[in-house]
Amino acid sequence: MAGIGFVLRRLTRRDDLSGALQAFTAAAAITSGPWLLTVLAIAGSGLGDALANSPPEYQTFRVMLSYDFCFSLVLTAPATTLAARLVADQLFAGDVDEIVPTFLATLAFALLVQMPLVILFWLVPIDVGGAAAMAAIACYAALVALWVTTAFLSVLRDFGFVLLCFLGGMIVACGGSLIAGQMFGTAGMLTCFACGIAVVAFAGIGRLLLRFPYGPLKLGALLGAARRNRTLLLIGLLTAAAPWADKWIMWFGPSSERMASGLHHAPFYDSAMFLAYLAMVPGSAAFFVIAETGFFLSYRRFFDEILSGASFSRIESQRQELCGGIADAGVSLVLLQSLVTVTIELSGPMLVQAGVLTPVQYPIFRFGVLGAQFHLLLNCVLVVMSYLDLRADQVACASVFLVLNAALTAAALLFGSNFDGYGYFLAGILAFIFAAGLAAHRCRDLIYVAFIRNNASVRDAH
Amino acid sequence: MMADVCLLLEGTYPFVSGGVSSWVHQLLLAHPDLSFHLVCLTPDDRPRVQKFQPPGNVQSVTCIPLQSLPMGQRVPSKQTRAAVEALLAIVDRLLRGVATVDDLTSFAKQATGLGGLAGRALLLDSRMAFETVKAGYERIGSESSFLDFFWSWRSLASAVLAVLLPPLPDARCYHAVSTGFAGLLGARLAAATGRPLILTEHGIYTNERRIEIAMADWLYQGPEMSFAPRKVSRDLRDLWIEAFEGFARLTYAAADPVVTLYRGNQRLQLRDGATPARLSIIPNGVDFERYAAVVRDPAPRPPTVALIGRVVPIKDVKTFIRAVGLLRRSIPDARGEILGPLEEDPAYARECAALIRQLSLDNAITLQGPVIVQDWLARIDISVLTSISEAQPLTILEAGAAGVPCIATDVGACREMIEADPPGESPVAAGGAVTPIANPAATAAAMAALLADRRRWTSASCGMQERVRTRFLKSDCDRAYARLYGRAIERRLSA
Repeated sequence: MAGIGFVLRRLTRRDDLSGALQAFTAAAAITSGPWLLTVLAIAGSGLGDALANSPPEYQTFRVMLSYDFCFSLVLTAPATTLAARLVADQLFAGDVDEIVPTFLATLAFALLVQMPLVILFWLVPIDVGGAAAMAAIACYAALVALWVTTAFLSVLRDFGFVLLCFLGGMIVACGGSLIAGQMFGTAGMLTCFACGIAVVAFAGIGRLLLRFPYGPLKLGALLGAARRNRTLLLIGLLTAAAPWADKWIMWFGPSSERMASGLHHAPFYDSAMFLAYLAMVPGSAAFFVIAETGFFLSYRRFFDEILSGASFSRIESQRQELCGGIADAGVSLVLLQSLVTVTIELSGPMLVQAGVLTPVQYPIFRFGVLGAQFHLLLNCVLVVMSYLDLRADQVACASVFLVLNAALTAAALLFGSNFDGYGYFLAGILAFIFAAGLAAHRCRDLIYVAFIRNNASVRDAH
Repeated sequence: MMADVCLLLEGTYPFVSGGVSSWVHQLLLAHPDLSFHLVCLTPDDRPRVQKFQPPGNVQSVTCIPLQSLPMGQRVPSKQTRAAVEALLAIVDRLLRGVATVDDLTSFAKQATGLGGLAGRALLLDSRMAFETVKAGYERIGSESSFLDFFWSWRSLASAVLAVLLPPLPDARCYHAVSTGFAGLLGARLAAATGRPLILTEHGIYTNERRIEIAMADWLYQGPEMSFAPRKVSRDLRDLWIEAFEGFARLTYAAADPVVTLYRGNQRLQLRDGATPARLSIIPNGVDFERYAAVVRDPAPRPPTVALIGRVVPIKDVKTFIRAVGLLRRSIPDARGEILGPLEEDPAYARECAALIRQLSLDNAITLQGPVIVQDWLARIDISVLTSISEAQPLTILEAGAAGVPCIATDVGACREMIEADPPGESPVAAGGAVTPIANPAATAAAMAALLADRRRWTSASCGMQERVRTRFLKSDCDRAYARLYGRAIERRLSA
């Protein structure tokens, strides 16, 4: 496999500290760069003194942007999850002529499904003014294009370009919105932000069109694939929605605010949580290195053994190596992330003192960091399940997290604001334990899963 | 309405053309007073074109696809788990070739207890089924490809379940036209209903499978070389052969009588476990008068040899093609005709056409496709069969009845038909020649000997015709089966 995996394996094989450091730094930038910048864009203006001192236009802009980010991520996820699978299959089959048509169809599908609802939402129940509403609609469309484009570029392993695009786009978006806000208010900020996102999206589209031959969009083929892979759509939706469930609950909780426009938000909670999510960066980077190096090679060896006609004992031996590797990686991740979590927790008071967090946000931040640890570990398990094509299990785990996150957050409200964030933390632990148990069970049963449960030939034979 | 006879057919009538299918069709036509139900075992559930139109006394046709099972219940309950394990144990015994008729009775009881729950999900896709596969793999030799073993086991088990699970067709007696899965079905039906099972074997199914398995290039030699002199090398072939041998033993145990076409076959049946007292011979027969009426075409033409049969590997058409090429060295204007369907194995037919081109025999050999044989017999000088395996080819009898000498490989009943004389019968002149398998030079030499010597040709022509007239009459065959069916139905009524 070319691309970043090859580079990472080369770096980690150097057997020196600088090689490992370079590998981890590259992984951190690649996995978390775009998301990191996004989180900063949303959280930046909602933290500490910024929150207390920002004019109403900034607050409206931040809330509208949160809504656009949230719902575009969640509602585009089914399409991008499906498309990622289709593109992976097309690459495996060497069918590069289908990549651009699939991309265009995914983009069209995502926009056609969402934009009518988005337009209705911003123009009818929500009163932000016509210009701001139009800007929010444009920003939403740009975000949808961005998620679809980066999903394709990620599957194609074009991480470096994705990172550069995000960096450039975010500079335009954030810088432009800050300047435009002073002159044109919320509508101006949103428009500039939308332009920045559009820059990233179009750069990505251009990159795709340069790399692969053009072909007309095939919406029919995508819809057919969607019908045959309904589980993938569900996985995308649930996995994207689950981390937002606590925020949706909090937007209507006691500490929430209802703006004049009709938008609900929980400013202290949202910002503190997004900042807490940054705690996932080291673990994400470490997991990415592990996944692209040791795990991927073990995974390939396991299936190669089967397909090359190995004896059962050799297949079993490879299974043990694969599952042992997953367990070892899990332990390493838990240790690393625990260290990071403890370090950040201990740094909490300093963040309050520096004005990054308000005293109200501090307990939310603490629970958020704790919850982020297990949320990260859950994500890692879901990625492993994705490699092993355990779709029903992914649906189960994402559903458990979604339900627990919503239910426990709602339950925590009964205990007062000191427990804001506790629901997310507890949901993270419980969902991770469930997912880890399920994954361990499947690992023991992996040969049966490979030969029967997940074997398309077994289904097709009848 | 209950049929008189239920015919159990595997990979033949009415969907496949060939000798056995023609024989079945003639059998149905010969007994208009009996009603028949046909059970046709097919590889899968794809719609198939009928090559024969069953006559009016065929009440109904049931197709059972061997690789298609209903899903059934997905998750075993505590109650079903024990029954599923029992069923899988019996399937395992069947595939190991050690099952008995009692196992079939036990299977039926357990399956009935499960109702419609038993299906692919529990018996092929469940963890219990996978453990059964693993146990089978350990027994066969744990160094061969597990993937190949998995699919082989699954393919065999699916076919076994396809014949053991569906509801039973009702008939006064059952008649399997081979062992294999048709015979297994017959054994099940006989055990479950107590009604008679007749078995007729044209080729010996198990032997034909042994040849195919030996020739299969996808069944590579699995076990690694070992210096241990006593170690028995087992691989995937053993799974297949043991299963088919087991099916044959079960069929022989359940059937009475066990009929075949010639003595050579009986030796193989005895070797595979048939009871001597149940064996009998009913040779194939042809409508002698019809073929004897063929008048030889007097128009001048080049010497013509013909292979009358399907263009498939078991007919070894390539040896015939090479033999014609060699024949043309001594008889330059000799022609070869290949008269038979091409669509059963299109890839092999293309290879034969390519071989003809490669040997520059385009003007000498023609692949005619399916023909009306009677129309060609007047213009053929020798009927040639170069098959690797045959039973009692009707084409030799048809050509022989028309006075066409025959050259055939020494397989099946060919030597008996062309050269040998049954004990106690008056000797008749040889009707042609018998050659070794896959020997184009020997076949070419036999053809040249007959074509070059008019007296020898005439002697073989008369000899072959006399053999058919005295030993292979259709009327004798029809009477013999009428007696068999009559006795079987009587046994059923008196039971």
